[in-house]
Amino acid sequence: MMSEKPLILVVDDESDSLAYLFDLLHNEGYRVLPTSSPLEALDYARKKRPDLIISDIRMPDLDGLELLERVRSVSPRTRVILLTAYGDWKMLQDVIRKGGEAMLLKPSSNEEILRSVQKALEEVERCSP
Amino acid sequence: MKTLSPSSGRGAGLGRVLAALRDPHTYDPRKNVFTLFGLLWGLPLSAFTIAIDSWVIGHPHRLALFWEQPSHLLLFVLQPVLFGVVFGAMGTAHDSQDRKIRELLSEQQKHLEELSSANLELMKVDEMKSQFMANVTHELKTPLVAIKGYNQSILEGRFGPLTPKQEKGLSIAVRNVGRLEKLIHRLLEFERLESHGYVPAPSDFDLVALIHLVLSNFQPEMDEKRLSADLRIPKSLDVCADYEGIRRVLLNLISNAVKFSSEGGIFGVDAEAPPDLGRVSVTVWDLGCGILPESQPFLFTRFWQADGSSHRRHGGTGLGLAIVKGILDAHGLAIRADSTPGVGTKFRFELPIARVHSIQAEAVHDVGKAAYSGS
Repeated sequence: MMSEKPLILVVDDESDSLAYLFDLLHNEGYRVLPTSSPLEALDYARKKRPDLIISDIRMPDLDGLELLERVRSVSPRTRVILLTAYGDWKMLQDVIRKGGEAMLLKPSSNEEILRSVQKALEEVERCSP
Repeated sequence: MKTLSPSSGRGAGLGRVLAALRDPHTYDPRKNVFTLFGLLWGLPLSAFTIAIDSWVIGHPHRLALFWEQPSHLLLFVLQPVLFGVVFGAMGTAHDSQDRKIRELLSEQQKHLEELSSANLELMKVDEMKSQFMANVTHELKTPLVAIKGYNQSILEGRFGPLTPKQEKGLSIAVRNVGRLEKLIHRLLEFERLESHGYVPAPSDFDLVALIHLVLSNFQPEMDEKRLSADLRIPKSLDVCADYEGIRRVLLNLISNAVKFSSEGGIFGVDAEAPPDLGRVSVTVWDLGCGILPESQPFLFTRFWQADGSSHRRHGGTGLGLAIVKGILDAHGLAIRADSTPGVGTKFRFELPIARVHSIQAEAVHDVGKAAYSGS
């Protein structure tokens, strides 16, 4: 059992989508850290070691798949869920191959997002020493 | 229109001859083998004519007659010249025909080059279109994240309780966001099929489980229209095809059946594997308005709709059946539509039976045969 609420880092360059994800997860009682910059997200991942990152795929500077790869090397315990508006099976395979937890198609329902978050956090807890 | 007076015709004729003589590409008598051929043929013919003449006179062996008769000399010269001229003219005609063919060929080559450059241009435009579609889809879907998410969150009471009126209004908004989402998804699906070339990845799966899964997606619409689904399917049917592709085929066909069934109506899915056929036959049917016979040939044409009028009752993009056909075509499978206006529509296609299943079936068949021959 975790001592404190899980920390979720939310990354999306679209401020409204970011606000929605923040509100949804915050409302569920998670500690949520929102950022619109993937580079800043990488920095947070290194410093704060969040339990989970939910990130958009299509972003300037650094796309979600690159972010996933880098996060896996700087914070291996952090799980990553990617969101995309234009994904296919090939992309999903790519996400899984690179160590991602799930890929959700935008716009996903609250239920889908929360279910994936729950599953990913259970995985974090299971793998924690 | 081209008109020629007799005088201008003569002038033009002479001019043409002079121009032809000057033009290095046109007829040159000195290089015309036909003239030489005519001259050579003219000589033995002259000799033959003179010999006949001498024989008729009664002195076939008197060569002196040749010199005594000036007409013979004239004939001897005239005939080869005449032959040379006639054959030369034929050679000219032949040469001009050759030239025309060469001209046509080079023109055709030019057209081919133009076509290939136009084709390249089209490919570029197509690439741009794909990129554009990807961007448009992204841009259309991005605002939907916040619209759908917030509306759903409020409707689910995550941000506080709602009055019944608020709840009703929001549920309508959420339902319409879902409609918009489906439309965008279908456009995207079709664009993918068209541009990137869909390649099926066949695997063995249970078709019956897939049918149940797809039907569960339509439960809200079925409840709303009080529709019931008549399923004539066995407990399980293993087929070998691209799971995702066949899921999309069933989604589109069942979506049509639900859309065109009237309130309180019935639609159905039949699936059966006739023995020894190695294929599973799938039929999706409805008892809706049907399609007019003159419209049926266009059924699988993209963007086409049975009722394209401004007062049509059913919405849609006209892409669903084009997607279905595209997926089945890529599998090398056919689809058939039987429709009677006012009675309903049936879509029927076949899927190959799963490999493991077919091996087992063959084994059972062989055992059966062995038992029969042994009895």
